[in-house]
Parts: sequence; C-alpha cells; structure tokens
Amino acid sequence: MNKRLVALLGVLALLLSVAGCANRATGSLTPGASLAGIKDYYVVHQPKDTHGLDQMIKDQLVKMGYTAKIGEEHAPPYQADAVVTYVDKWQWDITMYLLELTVTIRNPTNNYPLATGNSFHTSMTRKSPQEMVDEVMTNIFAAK
Amino acid sequence: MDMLPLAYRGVGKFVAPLMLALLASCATPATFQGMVADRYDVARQHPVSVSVRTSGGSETSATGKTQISNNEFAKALTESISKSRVFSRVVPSGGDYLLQVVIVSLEQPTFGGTFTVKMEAGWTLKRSDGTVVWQEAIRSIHAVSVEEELVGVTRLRVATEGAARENIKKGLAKISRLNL
Repeated sequence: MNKRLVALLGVLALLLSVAGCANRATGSLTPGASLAGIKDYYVVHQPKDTHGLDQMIKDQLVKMGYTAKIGEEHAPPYQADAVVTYVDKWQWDITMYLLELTVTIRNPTNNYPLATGNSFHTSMTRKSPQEMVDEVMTNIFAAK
Repeated sequence: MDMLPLAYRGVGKFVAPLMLALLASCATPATFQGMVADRYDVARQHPVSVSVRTSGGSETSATGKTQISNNEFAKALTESISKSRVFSRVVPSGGDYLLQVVIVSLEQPTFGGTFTVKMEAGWTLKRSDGTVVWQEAIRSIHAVSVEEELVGVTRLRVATEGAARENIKKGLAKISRLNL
C-alpha cells in the first residue's frame, strides 16, 4: 500500500508542477509589416547563449541569400535593414536539448517587431539546434 | 470492481484520482477577466474614440500550454480602456484612432515551482487616416508561486494572464502620456 501511495503522490506532484506539453512551430508577420526589401540583417548575440545559435541564425540567413552580421545589443538605430533577436530555452532529459526557440525580426530604428517565429519540441520529438533554427527561419519567411 | 480478478481489485482507488488529476492537467486559455487590472496609471484621458485590433494570439489546445486568444485579448484591452478611460470610448470600427496590438512572444516555463511568464507585444496607435502616431514594443513579466496557486496548469494560466495584464497596463500608461 505504501508503494502505491508513494506512486500516486509522485504522479500528483508531477501534475502540480508541469505546465503542459506539446510541440509547435509557428511563424507570423506583424500586420502591415513586410520583410520584402530587407537584405541586410544584424543578429543580436545573446550573452547567455553558449551554443552558437547566433552563428546558426546568421548562417541560415546567408544560406537564404541575405547578408548578415553578429553583434552586441545596443540602443537603436542599428546599421542594418533589420535586427534579429532570439530566445532559447534548454532542458535536460538524459542530455541537454533545445526545448524552445523564438526568433524575432525587428525594425532597426525602434526595435519594433516585424515578424516572429517559434519552435517548441519536447524531449520525445527533440530536434538539433540547427534543425530548430532552420524550422523557425523557414516559418518566418513563409509567413504572410 | 468486484467483477475484476482479486489481484486487480482496489485499482479503481488509484485510477479514479489519476483520471481526475489528468483531467485537471488540461491547459485552459487565458481569460479576459484575468487580463484586466483593478487600477491603471493614467496621466491623461483623451477625449477621442478608438477602435481596437489584436493579432498574434492563438487558441489553447488541451495538451499544450495556456495561450492568449486574439478575441480574449481584445476584450481585455477594450475593458481596460473603458475602466481606465484613456480614451473616451471604444467603438467596433471607425474610431478617431486605431489601436493595434500584436502579441509577439510569450515565454512560459514547462516545469517548476514559481512560474514566471514573459510577454512582448507590439503596440501601434494610428489616426483614422492611417498615420502612425506611436509605435513601441512593450515587454512585461509576471510570476506566480506555488503558494499562490497549487496546480501547475492553473498557475501557468494565472501567470500568463498576469503578464498580459501588465502589458496592457504599461501600454495604456504610455498612451495616456501622448499628446493626441
């Protein structure tokens, strides 16, 4: 009986601390915004990023035919057609994996968001950081 | 349960609570009531009408996390404007101004004790002729502890509503300081 009680309490504790789980991949444009005409991107390096996501995003942009550079965050204006920021969330399950990546493309003069993309994959359907970057960037540029 | 083999009798005692717990773990959407604040920091009440448009929100799936739908966010924004009186009235369309708010990102935890939700929304205020009067990205944050809300999915909903509420408060406070 004690084992069953412990198991039940374990399940309840899990349910009390879990927020939900699902996979998603989205990309959207801010109403009235357009990415047409943007050729040069400034990828803002996140100080806590130790996985080189900034480089992956930059490489993906170059692969898509744009010019891109990486730099530190500073007050606008940025010397580029658009600014790219990202938020990465990592989780541990046997090994660390990228749980969620959000990329936002912004107006270089006021940081106003022009488009955003998000990918969220839990452990069972985890993707490599490179695959997550590809997925998010593809969804952003496919957004209408 | 008496029809079950002896070894399985008593399973119901555990299955029933487990099923109830699983049902309780389904995500619920953010409600507009939870996104409306009690008080607003308003510098000036503009004697003009406004129409409201929201985008970037999404519907909540039972197996996912709490999301903010465009409809609920628009209702919260409308109610907040009426309560704060930043604009004299909100009209469905054809107002003196058009307020467009797009939910850009919602950073939510997956696991843990205190749930902290961060939100960013792009706010744009236009005159009826389409001229942009003001545009700004507004970030907000709200945390809810286990003491405040025990069940994880409910804690996430309350934290998400709190982040949206803070975002609306900040946005309306900034608009109230504009010279329209």
